[in-house]
Amino acid sequence: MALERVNAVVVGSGAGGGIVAKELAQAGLRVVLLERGSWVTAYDCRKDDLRNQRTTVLGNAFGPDDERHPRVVVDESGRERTLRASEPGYHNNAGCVGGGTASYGAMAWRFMEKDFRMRSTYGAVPGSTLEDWPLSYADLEPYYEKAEWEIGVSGDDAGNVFRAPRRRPLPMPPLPPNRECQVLRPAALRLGLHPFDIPMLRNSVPYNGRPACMRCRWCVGFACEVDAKCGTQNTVIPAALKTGNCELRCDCVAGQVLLDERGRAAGVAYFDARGRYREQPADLVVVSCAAIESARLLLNSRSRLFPKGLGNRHDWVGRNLQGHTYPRAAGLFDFELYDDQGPGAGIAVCDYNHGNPGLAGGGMLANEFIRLPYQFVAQVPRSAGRWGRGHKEFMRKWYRRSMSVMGPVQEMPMFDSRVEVDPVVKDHWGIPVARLSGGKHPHTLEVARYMAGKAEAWLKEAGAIHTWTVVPGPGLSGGQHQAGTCRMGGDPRTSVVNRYCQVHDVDNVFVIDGSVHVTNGGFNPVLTIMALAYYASAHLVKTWKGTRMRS
Amino acid sequence: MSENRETSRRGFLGAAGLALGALPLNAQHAHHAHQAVRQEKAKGPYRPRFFTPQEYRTLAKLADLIIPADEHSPGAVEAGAPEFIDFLASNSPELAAVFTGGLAWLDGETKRRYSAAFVDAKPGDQAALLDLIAYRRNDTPELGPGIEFFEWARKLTVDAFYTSPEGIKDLGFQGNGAMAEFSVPREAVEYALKRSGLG
Repeated sequence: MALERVNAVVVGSGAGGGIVAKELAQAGLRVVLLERGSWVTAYDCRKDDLRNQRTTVLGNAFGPDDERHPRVVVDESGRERTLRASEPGYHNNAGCVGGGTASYGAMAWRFMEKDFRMRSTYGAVPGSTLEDWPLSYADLEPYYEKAEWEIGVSGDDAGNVFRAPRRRPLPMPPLPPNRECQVLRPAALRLGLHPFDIPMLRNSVPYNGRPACMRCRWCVGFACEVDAKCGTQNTVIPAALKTGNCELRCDCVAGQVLLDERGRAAGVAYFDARGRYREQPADLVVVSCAAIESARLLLNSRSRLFPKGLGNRHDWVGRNLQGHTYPRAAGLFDFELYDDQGPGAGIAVCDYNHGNPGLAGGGMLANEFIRLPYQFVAQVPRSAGRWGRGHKEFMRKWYRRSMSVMGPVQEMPMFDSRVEVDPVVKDHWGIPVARLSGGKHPHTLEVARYMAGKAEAWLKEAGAIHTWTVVPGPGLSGGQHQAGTCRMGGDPRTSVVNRYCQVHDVDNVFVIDGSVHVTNGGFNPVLTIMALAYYASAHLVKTWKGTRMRS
Repeated sequence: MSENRETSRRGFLGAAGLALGALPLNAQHAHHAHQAVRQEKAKGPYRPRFFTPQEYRTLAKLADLIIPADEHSPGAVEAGAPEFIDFLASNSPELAAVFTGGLAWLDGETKRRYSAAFVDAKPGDQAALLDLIAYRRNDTPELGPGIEFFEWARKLTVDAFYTSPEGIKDLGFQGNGAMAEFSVPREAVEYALKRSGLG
C-alpha cells in the first residue's frame, strides 16, 4: 500500500531531527518523523544504578537493542569484529525518541569563534583534514540563542571571559553549587583561571511548563523523572505533534533514501514497527541519524546516478569520523566531597580551549557528573589492588573523598577515520551495517596529555593529596559526541553538504546533525547541533518551495 | 539444558573474546536481579538456577575473595553476588558461556598448579593465582583466558555488591533508594506524582 505523499520525511528524532520536524511543521509543512527506537520514559528505566546509558554492561537502556543492530569495527591492527550495540567500541549514542537528549548529561556549550576557524587559526596539521567551517559563529549566534530559550538552558557563563559574544543571557540561573564546585572554584581562581557555572539543558526553575531539577543523582545516562532535563522529546517534538502537521512513527528503521530517475530524492524506504517494508514519498528528505547512521543511510542509498552512495561522488561521505578525546585527572582528598547533589558537574573553565603553546586547540575542563560506585571501581588505581580487602578498603575510604576533572579535546579530523557499509554483515532487516575504522590523530593525543596535566594541577590546587591522570588510547573516537562524516563546505569536491546542510549533489536532501561538523569544538556538541538545526530549518522554510519547483 | 551447557562450554574460547562491558542482556533482567534473588531467598535456601553445585561453590569463593567481609561490613557473598551472577547467567547464554568456561579454566589451572580444585586450594595458592590473572601485564597465551574471565568475575561481583543495600551502606552512597527528603520546588514533586498516576 502506497503511503500518502508528505512535504518532508525527517529520519531520526534526536537533537537535530526533533528541531527540524518542529520548525517545518510549524511553518505548515506536512512532516513524517521516523524514529528507529521507542518513546522511552523515566518510568521505563526507573532510577537504577545498573540501567545507565553510559555504563552499558547490561545493555543500552535507551537503545538500540543488542539483538538487531550489529556493527563491524576494524581496530588499529586491522582485526575485524562484529559488535553488539552495547559493546565498547560500537560507538553508540542512543535509539529512542529524543535520541541522546533523553539521557544526556545536558551540557549546553556554544562553540567559540575560533572553533569555526581551526584551519585559519592553526594552519594545516599534517595528516589531518583540519579545515574551517563555511559559516561563522556570528551566523549561528541567533540560533544558539533560540536553542537556549526554546529548549531551555540554565547556568551562568558571565565569568567565562573567553566566551564569544552573546546578545541575550541564558534564560535560567544556575543550580546552586555542589561541594565539588565549592572546592574547585576558589582553587581555579588561585590558579588565575576563570571558572563559571556550566550552561546546562536543565531547568533550574520551572520553565516552559516543566518543573525544576530536584538534584537527584541519576542524571547523566538516565531519563529525568520530573522532566527537568530538556531534550527534544519533551520540548520541540511535542510542539511539532501539537501543530497537527507532524506524524511521529516510532520503531521504524530507514533503509535508504529513494531517488527518482532524475537523481532527486523521492522519499525514504523503511521497515515499520511490524517489520513491513514501506516507502514514504516526500518532497524533502532530512537525514538526522547522528554521524555514524547518517553516513550509513547515505552510503546505502545507491542508484545508477550515485553508485557509491548518495552525495558520495567524491568519496567524502563517512570520512572524518570524530568525537572527543577525554583526558581525565582524578584526585583523593582528606575531606569529603560527596554530597549527593545531582547532576554533579557544575563548574568549568575555558582557559585551555585555545592559545595553548605549540598546540592546535584544546578543550574545556569541568568536574565530573556523579560517579556511581561501580563506575568508580573502574577508576581505582592499580596500586590499590584489584581484589580483596585492600581494594574494598580503598573504595570505602575514598569513594566519598575523590573527584575528577575532565574535558573534551577538540580532535584533529582524519580522512581515514571513517564509516563505510560492511560488504557482508547485515542488520535484522537485511540492511548492510556500518563498518568503522581509523583512529585518533597523534596531535589530538598530545593535546590530551597536556589537558590531563592541567586537570591534575587544578585538583592539586584544590587540595588533592594524591592524583593520577588517564589519557585515552589511539583508537577511533565517536560515541555520544560522534560528528564529521558529512562535512559541510563550499567545495563539492571536498565536502558533502553546503552551509545550509543541503547535499551538494541532491538539492532536496539535507543532513542535519553532528555529521556536518567540520570540527567538533572542545565542547559537548549538542547545542551546536541544535543551533545548526534551527539555522538550516530557517533556510529550508524560506526556500523549500523553490526547491520543490526545480524538480 | 545439558545440550545447552555443552554448547556453552565449547563456546568459551570464542566467548572469551567477548569484550568486557558487552553483556548481551536485556537490561530488564538486571533490573530485577536483586529483587528476584531476594524473593527466591525468602522461600528458603537459594538453589542455583544455572550453575552446577561445584561451579556455584567456586563462584561464591571467587566473589568472597574479590570483596570479602571484614570488620566493617559484609562482603559480596552476603550481598548476594553469586545469586546475582547465577540469575544473569540463567538469562544469557553468552554470559553463561563466559562463566562456565572461566570457572572450568580456574579449576583446571589450580589443579595443574596446586593439585586441588580452586575451592579446596590453600588460601595462599588461591591468592597467588588471582594476583596473576587480575592484571593484564601478566598476559600470556596460557593465562589469557583466565585474565579475560577475571575481568568479568570482578566486574559483575562489583556491580552486584555496590548496587546492593550492603555495598551502598559500606560506602555511605545513597543510591538505589528513594530520597528521604526533597529540597526541591513543590511543583516538581506534584508534577512527578501526576505523571506517575499515583497522585
